[in-house]
Amino acid sequence: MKILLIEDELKIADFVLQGFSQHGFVTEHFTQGNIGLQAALAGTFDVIVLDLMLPGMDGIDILKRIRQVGLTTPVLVLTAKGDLNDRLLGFEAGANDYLPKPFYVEELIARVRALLSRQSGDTELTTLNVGALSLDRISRRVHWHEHSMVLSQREFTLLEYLMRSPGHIFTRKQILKHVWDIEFDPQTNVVDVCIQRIKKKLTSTDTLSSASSFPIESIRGVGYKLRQDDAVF
Amino acid sequence: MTQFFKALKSFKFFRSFRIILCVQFILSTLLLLGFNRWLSQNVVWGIVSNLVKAEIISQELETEVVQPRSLLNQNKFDLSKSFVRQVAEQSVRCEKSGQVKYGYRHDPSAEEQAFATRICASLDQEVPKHKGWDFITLVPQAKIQSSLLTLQGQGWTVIRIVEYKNQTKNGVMVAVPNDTIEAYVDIIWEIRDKLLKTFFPILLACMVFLGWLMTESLLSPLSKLKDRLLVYESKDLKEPVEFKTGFAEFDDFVRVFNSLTERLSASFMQAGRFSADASHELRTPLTILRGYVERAIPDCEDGSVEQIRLSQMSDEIERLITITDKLLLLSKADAGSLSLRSRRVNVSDIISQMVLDLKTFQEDLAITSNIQRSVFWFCDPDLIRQLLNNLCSNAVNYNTDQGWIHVELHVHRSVLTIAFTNPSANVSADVLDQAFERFYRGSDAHSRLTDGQGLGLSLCKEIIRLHHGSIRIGSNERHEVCVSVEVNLQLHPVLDSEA
Repeated sequence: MKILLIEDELKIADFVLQGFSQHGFVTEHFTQGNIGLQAALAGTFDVIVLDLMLPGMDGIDILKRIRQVGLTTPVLVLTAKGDLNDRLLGFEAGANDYLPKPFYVEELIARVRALLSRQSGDTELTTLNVGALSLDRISRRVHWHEHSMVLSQREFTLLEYLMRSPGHIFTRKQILKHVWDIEFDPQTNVVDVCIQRIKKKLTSTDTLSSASSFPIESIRGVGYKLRQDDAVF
Repeated sequence: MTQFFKALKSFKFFRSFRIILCVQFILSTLLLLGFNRWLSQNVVWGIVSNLVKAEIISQELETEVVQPRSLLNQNKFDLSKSFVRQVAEQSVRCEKSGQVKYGYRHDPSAEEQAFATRICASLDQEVPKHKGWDFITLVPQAKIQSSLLTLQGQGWTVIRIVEYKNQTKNGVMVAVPNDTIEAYVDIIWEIRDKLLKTFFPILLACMVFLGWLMTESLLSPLSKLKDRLLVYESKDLKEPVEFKTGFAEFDDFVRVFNSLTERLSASFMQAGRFSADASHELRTPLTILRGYVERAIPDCEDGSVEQIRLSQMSDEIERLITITDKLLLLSKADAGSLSLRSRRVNVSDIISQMVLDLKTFQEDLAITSNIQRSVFWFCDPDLIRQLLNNLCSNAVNYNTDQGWIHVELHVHRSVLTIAFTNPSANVSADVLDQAFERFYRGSDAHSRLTDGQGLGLSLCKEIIRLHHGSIRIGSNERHEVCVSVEVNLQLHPVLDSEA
């Protein structure tokens, strides 16, 4: 899998590149917009990750040029501008996905993977798969081995959050902010309760897979992560 | 005295531009009237008395000296004729040789006849032929002269005709007692003043009406302009006011106003763009920082002190990101570029869920609520969620130990009210006054950690302003703080309560 990264901020590129190489992607990186465009037109990449504000040539212009010449390589746009208008502008120019800064590398990788699988057409867009765990975004139904359960809204949001960036450790506060959208310190361990509930729903009647093999892992004093070791990518 | 004027000034009546203009108009008209009267009494008096003199001599000569153009136009002012006759009757006419033609009425007594003769005899000696005579220049076809002299303790005006239509008529003189002429002119003034007094109420009514008309015509473009500006008040400043009053001065005013708003909007934009740019610029380093920290967390041994510290750092970075997001939102609201993506939202559901969450999260706070069911509001759900979150966070963060929160939602006469009430340790008026200021933090002892603290309420204010509502903060003597939001649901296109 070959990825083209056009990003002028070297430090962002640095950890993005590291993340990609850890997950087995080959990445070419350019900081100049115009040079990046030449590379995109010349090379055969599976995915292009494009920053919008670039020296040399604007990201939107690059995107338009790429689409003008008929290149259908999926493009994921990265930008500091998270506005709806900017997003729409990006999609109009031909972007396949959009990730506003700041972002987690894990999420970027997960999205790149989604783009790749969408390209090959082997996965339905509505299902999110991490290892044996599969989550239906529409019916909120989760499958794990032979078990399947419908999750409540909160449980679903939490699991989807973890599954979107497998391997990433989320702190309780991050989970609280994302799932419950609250900005004060709760006095109860609501996150732990919710995760226990998901775990219980999927392992209570379980005989084959023990609770310990359930991929949501608690990291003491830090938070939770979704184990990635059994991922099938 | 000054207090009296202050009281006058504070009286709303006197602060109306219209009333002041009207009063000024009436006062200036009265002043003009008074000036006119003074002028006529002092300047026109001489002219009138001259005319009277000319008229008298014309009567004595039984010729028409004074033409109808005069003030004593007989057709128009018939009354004057008899006055002049009265004056003439008291005059004495002397022939060239000092003979009395007649004097004191047409049939004088012997005594009067003798008196008149004496006057005529003494006229030539008392008034030198070429000295002391004033020309009455009013009458073009006759040369009339007059002079003053005192005979036997009485003032007399002697009038003579020197030339009449190029024929010398020297020698005819008429002596009139001074006070009769004066009395006559005075009568004219008296009539004039009497007339003025009679018509004064009508005059005053006319003046008030005219004053009103004047102020109306003066103020109508101004009030039209105000109506026009009101439309623009709610819009952004970028659009100029397109308005033609039809008057050069007001068009200038509009132009000045437009250039002012242009400059204002430019500086607003600049300020807005600055914080928008700043928050955009902050995103890149924040992404990098978070990227490094997030990468370092899994590298550490699970549960190690380093990992815990890094995760705490990560939480702080999240907080910075939240603040940046809020700043961006605020700057957009300031620049007027924050567009609402409104749809019909069930506020009751959102608030009920929020109350449920509050109950699970805050076990030592008593949470009560009074939520009207199925209240729909046409609003931007993301922004309203943020508003409610901020209100909720505020109620938690500025609470007391073992305190409580009461959440209220109701619609009364299509006014939607959301209120959060909670006890608080610090509710001085000072704190409440500054609550909506950016980055203001109440010096509450409960410093529970919050993200983007100090921006919450000011953000709420902006969100509510965009939704055409109002937000208030108040407290009572029991140290309870209530933040309430009020929105008129009728101001929005699709709204109803389906309770």
